[in-house]
Amino acid sequence: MFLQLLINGLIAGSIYALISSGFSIIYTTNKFVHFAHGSTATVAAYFLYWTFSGLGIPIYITFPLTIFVAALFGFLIHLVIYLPLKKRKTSSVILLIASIGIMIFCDNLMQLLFGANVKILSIFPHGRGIEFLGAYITPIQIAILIIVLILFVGLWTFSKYSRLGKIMRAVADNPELAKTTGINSVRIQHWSFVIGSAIAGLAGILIALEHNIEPSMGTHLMIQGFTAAVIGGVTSLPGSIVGAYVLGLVENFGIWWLPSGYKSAIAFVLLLAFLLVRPQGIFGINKGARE
Amino acid sequence: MLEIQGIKKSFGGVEAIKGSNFIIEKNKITALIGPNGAGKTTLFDIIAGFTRPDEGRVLYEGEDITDKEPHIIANLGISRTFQQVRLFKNLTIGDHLSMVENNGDMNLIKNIFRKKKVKRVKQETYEQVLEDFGIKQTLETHINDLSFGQRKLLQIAMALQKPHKLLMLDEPVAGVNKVIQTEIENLLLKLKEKNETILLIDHDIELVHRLADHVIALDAGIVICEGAPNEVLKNPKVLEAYLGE
Amino acid sequence: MPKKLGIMIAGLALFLLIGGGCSRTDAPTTNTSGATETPAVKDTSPIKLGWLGPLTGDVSSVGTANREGTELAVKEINDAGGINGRKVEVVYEDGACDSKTASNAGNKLINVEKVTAIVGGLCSGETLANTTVAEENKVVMVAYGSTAPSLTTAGDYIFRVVPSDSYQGKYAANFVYSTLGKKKVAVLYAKTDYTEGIAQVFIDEYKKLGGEVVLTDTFLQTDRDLKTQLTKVKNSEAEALYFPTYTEAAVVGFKQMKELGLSISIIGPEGYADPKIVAAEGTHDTMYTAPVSPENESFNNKFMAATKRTDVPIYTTHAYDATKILLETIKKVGTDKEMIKNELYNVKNYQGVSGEITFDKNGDLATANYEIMVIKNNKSEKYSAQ
Repeated sequence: MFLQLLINGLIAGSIYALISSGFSIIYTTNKFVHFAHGSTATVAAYFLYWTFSGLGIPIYITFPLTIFVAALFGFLIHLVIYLPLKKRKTSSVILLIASIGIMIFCDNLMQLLFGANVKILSIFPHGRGIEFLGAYITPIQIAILIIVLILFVGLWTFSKYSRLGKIMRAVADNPELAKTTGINSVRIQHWSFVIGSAIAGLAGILIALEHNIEPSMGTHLMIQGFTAAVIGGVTSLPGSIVGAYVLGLVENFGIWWLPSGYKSAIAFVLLLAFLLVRPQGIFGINKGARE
Repeated sequence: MLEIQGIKKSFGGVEAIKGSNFIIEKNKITALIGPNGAGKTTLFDIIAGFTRPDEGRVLYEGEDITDKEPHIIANLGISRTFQQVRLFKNLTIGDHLSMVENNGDMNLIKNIFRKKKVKRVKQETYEQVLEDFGIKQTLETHINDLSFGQRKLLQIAMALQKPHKLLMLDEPVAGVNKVIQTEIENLLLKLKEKNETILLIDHDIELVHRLADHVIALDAGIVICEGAPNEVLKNPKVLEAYLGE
Repeated sequence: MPKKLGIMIAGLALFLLIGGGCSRTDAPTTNTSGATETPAVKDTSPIKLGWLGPLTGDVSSVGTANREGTELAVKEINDAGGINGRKVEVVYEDGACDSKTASNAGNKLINVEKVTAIVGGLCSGETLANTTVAEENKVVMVAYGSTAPSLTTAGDYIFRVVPSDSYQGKYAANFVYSTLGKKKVAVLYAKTDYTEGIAQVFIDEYKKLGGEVVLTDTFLQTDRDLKTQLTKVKNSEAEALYFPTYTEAAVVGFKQMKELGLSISIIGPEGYADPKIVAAEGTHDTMYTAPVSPENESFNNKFMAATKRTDVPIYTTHAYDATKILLETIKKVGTDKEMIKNELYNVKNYQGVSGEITFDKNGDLATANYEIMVIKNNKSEKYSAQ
């Protein structure tokens, strides 16, 4: 049972990581909470459903197309909504409220277009999982684990060895100052939304395959993705993935003893604990004042 | 090198700059002086591209840069510092110094992977910079752990480290103690020897006397007098404008 | 300027967040009691009924068919001239099998549309969300699918043409213990009125029979990942799993049972008759209890002809009967709400297409009969012990 719970925790963590990593990239560069990030995954999932199940386009076209659409979606939100607000020097709180508004709008739009019922994407057949020392894991779940692992390695390398990581943090801290050093701050911000949203698009695809599609799926995941990012440290890119695994494992092992209904409660307790005791998360760099 | 032509700027009905015209010559240290509110920092903002003037042009090496974006202007070779020291909160000294390098080339791939050897060379260069500036800290020190004087020095170090043709310093010695002030002065003198082009804003008359080749006195952005330090600083119109301080 | 814009956006966002869920509580103006329709002149205005059920969300594949059952009943009455010369109009509202949505819908029917009576809801949660407002406004509700035991004492104005799960839960417990011979069972149920109600009845009865409930665990109606609960079930010594749940979570559950290699017998309540569950992956050999419905070929034929459907989903006959009973009662006593309520308690041995209907003093069905169905290759058939 331990092994199965471990696998369950890793799978749950991987899914949260897909959301938290993209979110972390955006937060690190823009210093406000883009709650509508979850909606990017939702829109991607529905787009995949529409093109694959509705129009019958083969997956080797729809998969990359979906990721592209997701990146475009995030980019447009930044361009059309956040940038104009930022130009008026609105605070991060206002931007957060705007992002919540976008999130609600998108969820309802998806419901309007596709209905509230759960949509099942039957691209790959579901079957009995592969047995492994008494625990079961399915091919899709293995694929998710591998993809997230690759993502983690990529982000860690990027963070440690790349100048771009530092540039992103500089842009987040003081875009005007960054400009004086010759950095095109706005373009960096655009890129953060493109890359972060592309990852959310990937998340949408994988989650649609593993868990099916519902209008509110992105919002639920965003709450957990946000918690994961806080636990790992919102300003640490690899940290967001570590935080996701911590959350996934704690949730699944937590309900070994507690009734399963407490799963969400565990997530919130963890979030609260970190916010109170260590707001910069496990890997957060936070010398001095709280963000 | 830099020409200001007919610049006018108002903020909410108040005319900060009524019509500015002057030229900054190469290889000289030019000082902008004037009472508070004379529009000096505003001119810096306009030159560096952070604000657009209502009227007029800024020509840099013959090119009209009035409407260009700040980062483009920075990459054309204009370095500036701020009156209130501005640095990146959560980065280290080393980060700041590496931040100013080569930003004209934003090639993503190049920026993601840097050869180890290049990194080592840069490391040594930066350590030398710290030594030159007398900043007794390591490259890994966070900004929050520096004293005010050290931050001011770092700001200037960054401006210098950045590939530049024109250095704009906004009150480089304001608020520092005598020791650091002397350090910065000596630094500027060294730069003068190296024939750097510097545009300086400062209130310290003595300092201006010692450093500047050319002085421009402004009041509401209008040049009321310019010339060699001796002449300008004794000019009655200038003294009158200052007495209002 | 930025401040104003910020406040506007904040206000809009707040409005969106809050505005969605407010239920109105207008004080009822007319129709609370007494004669409202004693016309000196003959009244030809239409009789307004309300209908409540899931048109979206969980179990909507059943709810949409049930609505058509009501539509058929209403059409038949109207085609025959209506009730005392008045046409019957129905306002259909979506309860989405969710208490909050159903509460808004019920409020709208009672306080805005001011309907005479309500056919509905399907899900127990939908009905229970409206019992108080219905009682206060003396609006009769005749539920056509709500089986939770707690409805028995919900009020004088609340009726149902389906039996209480206090029967079904016991029937299931007996089946699992005696017929299937499983002495150790795990119970995994969703936290809703319906599923929790029947789970509790099952557990009590099963223990009374001498069986051991080795594990009970729960999940939310909206949960879409049951892997951990199912892992616990797999790890327990359970020989069978009693799994009361609504459709969307059921589909997830069956899929994940298959993935995890959980192979014990699965038994559920009548909600499993939802075509969406029957068609789902991993449901082969799953058994469920279902109220015995007489085979009514003529009804089935006319329903399928009218709706172009190829089957008659569960509770459609009940929705049809509930509608008919209400309308016939109104024909007898008029539209006075209290008189409608009183007359309904007199319904005895009504021959409905869903079976014989007699209301007891609680507005419940006086008798209940169940049978076991089993899903084989995504089709439901009667269970037979071989």
